[in-house]
Amino acid sequence: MQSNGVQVLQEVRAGRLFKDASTLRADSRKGLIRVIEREDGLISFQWKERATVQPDCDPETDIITFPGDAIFIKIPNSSTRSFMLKFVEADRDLFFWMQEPRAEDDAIRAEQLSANINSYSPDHAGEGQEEEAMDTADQAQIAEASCTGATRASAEEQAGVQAAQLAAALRSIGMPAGMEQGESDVAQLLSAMQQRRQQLPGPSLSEVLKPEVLLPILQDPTILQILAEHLPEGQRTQQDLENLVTSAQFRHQLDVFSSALRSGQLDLSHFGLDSQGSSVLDFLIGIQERFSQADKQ
Amino acid sequence: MSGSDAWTTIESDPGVFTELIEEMGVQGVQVEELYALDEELLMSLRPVYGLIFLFKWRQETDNRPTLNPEDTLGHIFFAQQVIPNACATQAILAILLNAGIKLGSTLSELKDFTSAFPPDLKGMAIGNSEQIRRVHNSFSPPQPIVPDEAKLAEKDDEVYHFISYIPIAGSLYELDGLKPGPIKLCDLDAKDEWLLKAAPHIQSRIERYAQSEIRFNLMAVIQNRKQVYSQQLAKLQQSSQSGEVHQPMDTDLAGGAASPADADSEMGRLMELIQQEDDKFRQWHEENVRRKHNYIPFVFNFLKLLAEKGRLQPLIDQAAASKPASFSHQEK
Repeated sequence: MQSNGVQVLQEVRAGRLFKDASTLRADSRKGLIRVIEREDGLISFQWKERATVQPDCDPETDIITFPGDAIFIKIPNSSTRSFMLKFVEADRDLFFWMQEPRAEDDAIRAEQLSANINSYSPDHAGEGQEEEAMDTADQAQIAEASCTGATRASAEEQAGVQAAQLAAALRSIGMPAGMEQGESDVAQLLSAMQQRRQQLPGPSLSEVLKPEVLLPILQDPTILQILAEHLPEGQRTQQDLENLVTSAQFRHQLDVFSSALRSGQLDLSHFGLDSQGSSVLDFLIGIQERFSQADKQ
Repeated sequence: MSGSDAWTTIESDPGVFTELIEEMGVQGVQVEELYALDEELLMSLRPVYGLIFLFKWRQETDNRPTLNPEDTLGHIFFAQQVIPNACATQAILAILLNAGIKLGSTLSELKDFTSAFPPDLKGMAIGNSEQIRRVHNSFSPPQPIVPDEAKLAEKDDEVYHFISYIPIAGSLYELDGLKPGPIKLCDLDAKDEWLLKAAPHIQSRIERYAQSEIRFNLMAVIQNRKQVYSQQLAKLQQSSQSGEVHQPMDTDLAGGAASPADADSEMGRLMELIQQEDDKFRQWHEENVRRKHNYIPFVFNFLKLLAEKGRLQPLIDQAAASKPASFSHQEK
């Protein structure tokens, strides 16, 4: 379901637990955990009270979660239906008790919550921004900065722009409960965002080696001469080569390879490359560094 | 997950299935994809051994009764789907092992060996068949680039399900490996055309899934078309040579050739169809060769060559500038 460009990923009925010295005290109110994907593609973890007259009241808790920030798990050594949003950073944890009727499904719901708050949808960032109404001017700024195709800036530049806009927007809508507002926290956010951006998978080889990019390159006859031995027998003509790079089977293998590379299953040292990285970009840079002849041109 | 006894995912493609069937030792059978439930088209593809309906699976309520597999032992080969990645092959086997056609040694042995087994053991026997597994897996990229299937599944976590429709001994059945037994759809009289009886059942599934935008495919397991056309052509050539008055053929040919001129044009039409089949099989074979070839050495050496020629930098720039990918897992 979509409203105002926000997509609700998951809802779980749950109440709050608050730390009271060494115990967790239950808040008796009926509540709802909701994980949403915002217009800018970021994930928000929210909690709101359920028994209000207006269905769309603002959540009491609204936290943006980046992949790797937190997981949703059962509270260790405690009663069966107590769960927590456990952050990697100290002192940010939040605690809940399940209010869904069937306790048997608690574990699955928790897994799904963890998966959702650790998800990232680069495809959505920038999609449909023009059509959706913006709540605040700052959110509009984030949307424009996220739209790809508007600029040929490098990945790092884009991340910097996004982070600055995000910081501005967060300041304007108010930080979520429990977080101190201050310049150092914003700086932390910025660097966290930069890090995330660099850790993101990057393009698949099938996107880099697109037919329209490859076909002009393949007009160089020496390429077929040298590479023919790596092609299957019976498919070693120029026409075969051109058919290959436009084929779905080739594209699929490039995707599979890129995925294996990204997952860390393929060690780049197998290719004689020094690179420690695991992205397609690292792979290409590794090859460039090893084989390009800097003394020519 | 990638152990030596794992089954990999393969494309649901008629060219893949046709070669898969051949490599399991069955001659003279091919698979065609149908993009619409067109009764005229279906009839023109006869003899059709069975239909396979595949779709992205999700929970459905289905209260139709299933036959007790014990009652049908020896008449209907019904196996439960034990291995998720093998579901395409299992659906094909559901048709081949019930179609009454010549099977070749691998499948004949499997059928005999498992004839008294209950459905779950039949399913396990298929899963344990090293020969079948090897043929199935050969249509995925070769090691070492078969990734942990679980990881790819995260990205595209939809499971495809396959259902076979097949006439057996005077009745029409729906064989679904996730059910406890076969479902009998209706009885078939001698004059009934089973395809026309199956169509409404498939049509209602299509309509049900179209509403929820569930994608699906329909495939027909049929006799090799070139064989069919060649037989028809041979008959025509024989009778036109001997100068006989030609009998109309009781096949899908539009009308029967009743005169030498008609016979000529009919022969021309058949030869063109045969040529189309040759072209299609050649295309399918090309694609299968690519599927089975490991292109990583090619890609690496290609990129290395570009680097040496100073032509790699633009690709690097392009990769750095583009936004992160959503990988598409090529599975229908």
